[in-house]
Amino acid sequence: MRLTLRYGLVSALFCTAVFYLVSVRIRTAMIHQVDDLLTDELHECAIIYETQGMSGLVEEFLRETGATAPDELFFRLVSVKGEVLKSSDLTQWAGIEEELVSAAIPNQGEYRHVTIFSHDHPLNARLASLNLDGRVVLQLGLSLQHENLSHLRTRQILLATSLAMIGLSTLAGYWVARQAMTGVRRVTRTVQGIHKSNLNRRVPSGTEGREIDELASAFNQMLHRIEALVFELKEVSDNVAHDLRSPITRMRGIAETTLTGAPDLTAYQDMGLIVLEECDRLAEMINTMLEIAQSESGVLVMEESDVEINSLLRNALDLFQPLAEEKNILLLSDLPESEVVLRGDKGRLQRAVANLLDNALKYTPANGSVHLACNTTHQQVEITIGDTGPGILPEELPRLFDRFYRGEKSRSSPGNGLGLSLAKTIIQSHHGDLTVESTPGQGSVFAISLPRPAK
Amino acid sequence: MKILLIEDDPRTASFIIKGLRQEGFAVDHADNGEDGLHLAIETQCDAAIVDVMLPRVDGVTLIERLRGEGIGLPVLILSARSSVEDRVRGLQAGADDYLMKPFAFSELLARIHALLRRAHAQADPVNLLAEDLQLDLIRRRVFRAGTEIELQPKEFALLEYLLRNKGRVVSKAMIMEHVWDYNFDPQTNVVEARICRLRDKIDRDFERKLIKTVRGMGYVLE
Repeated sequence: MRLTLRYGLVSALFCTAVFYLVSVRIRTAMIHQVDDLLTDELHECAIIYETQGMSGLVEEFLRETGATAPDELFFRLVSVKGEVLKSSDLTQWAGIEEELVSAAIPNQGEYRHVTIFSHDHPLNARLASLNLDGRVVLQLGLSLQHENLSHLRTRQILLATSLAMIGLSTLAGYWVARQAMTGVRRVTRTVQGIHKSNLNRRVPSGTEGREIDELASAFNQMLHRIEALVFELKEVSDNVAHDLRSPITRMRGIAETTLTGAPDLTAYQDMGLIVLEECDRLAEMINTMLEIAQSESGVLVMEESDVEINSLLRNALDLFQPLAEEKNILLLSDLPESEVVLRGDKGRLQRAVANLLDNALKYTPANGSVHLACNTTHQQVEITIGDTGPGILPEELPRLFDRFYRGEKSRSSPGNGLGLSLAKTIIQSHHGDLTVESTPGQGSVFAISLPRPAK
Repeated sequence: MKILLIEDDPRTASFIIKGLRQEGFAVDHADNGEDGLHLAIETQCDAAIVDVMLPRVDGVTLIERLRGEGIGLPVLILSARSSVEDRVRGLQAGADDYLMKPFAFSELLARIHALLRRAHAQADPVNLLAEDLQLDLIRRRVFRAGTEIELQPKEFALLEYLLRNKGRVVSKAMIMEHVWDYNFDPQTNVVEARICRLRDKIDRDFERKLIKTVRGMGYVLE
């Protein structure tokens, strides 16, 4: 409503201004018309004066004023000093004498136009003066009553029109505002109805126009982010509740049983060692979980630098070489000769690759092989890690990258189930993707794809 | 050598003091920033360990004030917060090193030693020695009992690291960070496998075994 009122006020002011200007222009045009008429008349009179002299002029006057009503047209012949030589019937023009006297006398051959107002008479007139020969000034006055009437009529029409326009535009404004507000109200209601239990609701787009749709879209994006954050929060809480308690349980258990048993130095030493181990495990899990949660919810701050992928991969291979040898696994590589440089967080990329290599070596049996390859295209870098392990069952594939997920074949091996999750979220925060293909019984291939910077 | 410890948690302070004294250091302790700053200015210490979260005056402010007084005491910051900004802030304020909690005490020790070495501008040795093992750092060659042993570059680096920290336990995480520039500890036994290989080369054929495993903590060369 306030919007409409403001709009109505603005359009009213605008209309008023416009119509005032129009009114003034019309009046000016009317006056010019009158002036032209008078000027032509004076010009003719000047010619008559030259050819027929004073008498001819007076004759012309009498003829003219005889033809028209005395309250429409008058004339005066005045000397340059202001003495009235001859004039028409000025009875209808009471009160105008003084005005005429004070009306300025032009110079020889010059015209002058002025509007005369009479105080007690409702009429006003346009006076045109012409200095005929330096001694005699001819003055013609034309009543403006017709013009005034026209002008009044015009003003009335203008007023009516502007009132109508203001009214209509206010109505139109109200209608448009209502439309927009309906859209805004709809979005507001939808968003207000969202709380922690239905964060997946979204504002539907409607028919109120593009701006409202953009508003709805912006809200939806924000809702999406909030949903992701709440999800991460829940996940972390759930994980904390479940998996972090295991090491604590073990530590507590061993400490309690050792301390309540008979004092034994070896037992105490063992207890100490177990506590150390479990603490390290716990710290590692906490750090990794926090890292995943922060990365997934978009709050992680990465350290960016130029990373040379080839040397990163070669370093990783070097690191895992002895381990592979120990397990009798062949570690193969296929890396390009030239440098491949990306912008990214070196430590985290190292970690992602190491996690995948670690995985591959863990699940590949003796005499198997693990193959690390790197391919580059114009737009992306693809790193593949293939193994000849037992493979992953198709029903397990979609959940493979979930936190704490351990597949059937991996339950007995050491590990906390966070490695793949972390690798995936690291790759994704570099705008890449981590995918896996697997054939049970033959092996699996994990593929990292990272976009290259545009040259 | 005297170390100043400024840490407000009593249990943490307790084990650090105990550990440092076991290593032969003298330790002064303050449990808040104000007293810590006072001690740092008034007493003669060789290095300081400062916790970031302290009552009265926090760790970073303390270091700023210390440097403001023109005191160049080597400082190592301890923090339970892992954000990059924290680390950068601390180092910019004038700290010399930064260690995140929870930490392996052996790592704290190794870093303190590194700080002290730097502070006393000890010349970098050309040779590292232990018993009959000799490492020529210039020519990158290893000799044991006079015989040369062929080592790959990373194996040499690993042995060098163990030797530099001779007599002190180094954890797997420390090895990962200093030898391979990886700052995390992988779940599998990459480091163990590496140590095994190294042992094969420098310990197996000799009577005196130099590289020892310390369960739950890491390795030590002595």
